[in-house]
Amino acid sequence: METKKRLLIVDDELLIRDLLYDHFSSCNYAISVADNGKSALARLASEEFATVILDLKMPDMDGLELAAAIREKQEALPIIIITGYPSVESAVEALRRRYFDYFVKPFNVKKLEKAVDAAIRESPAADHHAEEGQRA
Amino acid sequence: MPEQPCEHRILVIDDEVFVRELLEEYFDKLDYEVTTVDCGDAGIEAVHASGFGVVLVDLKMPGKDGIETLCEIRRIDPLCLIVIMTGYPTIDSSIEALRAGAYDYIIKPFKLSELREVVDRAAHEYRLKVEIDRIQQNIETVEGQLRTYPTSLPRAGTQTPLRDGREGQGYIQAQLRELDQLRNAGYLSDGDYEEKKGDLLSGG
Repeated sequence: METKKRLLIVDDELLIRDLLYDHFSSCNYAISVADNGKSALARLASEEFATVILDLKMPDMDGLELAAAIREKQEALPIIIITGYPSVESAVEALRRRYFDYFVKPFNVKKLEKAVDAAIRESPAADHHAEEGQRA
Repeated sequence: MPEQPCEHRILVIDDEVFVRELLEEYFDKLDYEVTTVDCGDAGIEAVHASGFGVVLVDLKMPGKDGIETLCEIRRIDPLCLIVIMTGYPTIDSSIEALRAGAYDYIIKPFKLSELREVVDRAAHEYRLKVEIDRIQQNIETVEGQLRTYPTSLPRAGTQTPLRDGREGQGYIQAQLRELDQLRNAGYLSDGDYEEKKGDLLSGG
């Protein structure tokens, strides 16, 4: 049986979570979603993921803060930033921290899919267990 | 003067003569060996001709821009670390630099001491990358040798195809020591270690 790669999507906007859930589910990914940093960290503590897609601007914990917390725990996990409020500063911060990619909303979801595929292909932590995703 | 090791060799690519002279003078005093060129093509040529640990490249230049130059240099030397410098920072170019694998993105005008921190860190990281690359190549060599030993060596304790039995035994002992080191350094799992050790001792 073909194994599914697990993807964590973190965004406080329901529309974006639903859009990405539907798209990546149809691409044979197993998806988990979280609407804030705290629940994303809880997900990461209990499940293994191949890649994380996270929004920069969220109410409780911003995306860069969340990304740094993820890095502390899972250094090799690829992180892709998505944001509707791009800035040179945050893009440079993403570059310096070696996050895998940075997308400005509204983005082409096919391009994001390519980035996810590349992140998983190039990641040393690419082999993950397959499980069915649960919509949060 | 003897040539510096690559991590202490910096290439500056900038069309502004003032920037080239300033950086050459500054990093020269800090014990770096600095080469300067005024365009992307000359930078690519310089990388072809000799190794650099760190490349500082201006984003906006006539001819090849900084990102194109970066991509070309990374194709020639994937270990070399490249810092983009620009007086015209934009979201698009910073994202492009991230995607192209830049080590850093520095906005002009910058403090020389800040650039120095970046360069020192990059030089250190370059040295580590070279060392990791060397260790990986050694592991591949040892693994290649291990794959051939079971068919070329007899069982331990029997006659060997080498000049005498002691030499064959010594060889196996040396390989076992090497396996121990690889396991202790974390390059071999316990399972792989036992399997390779078994192969060595059984001769097949």
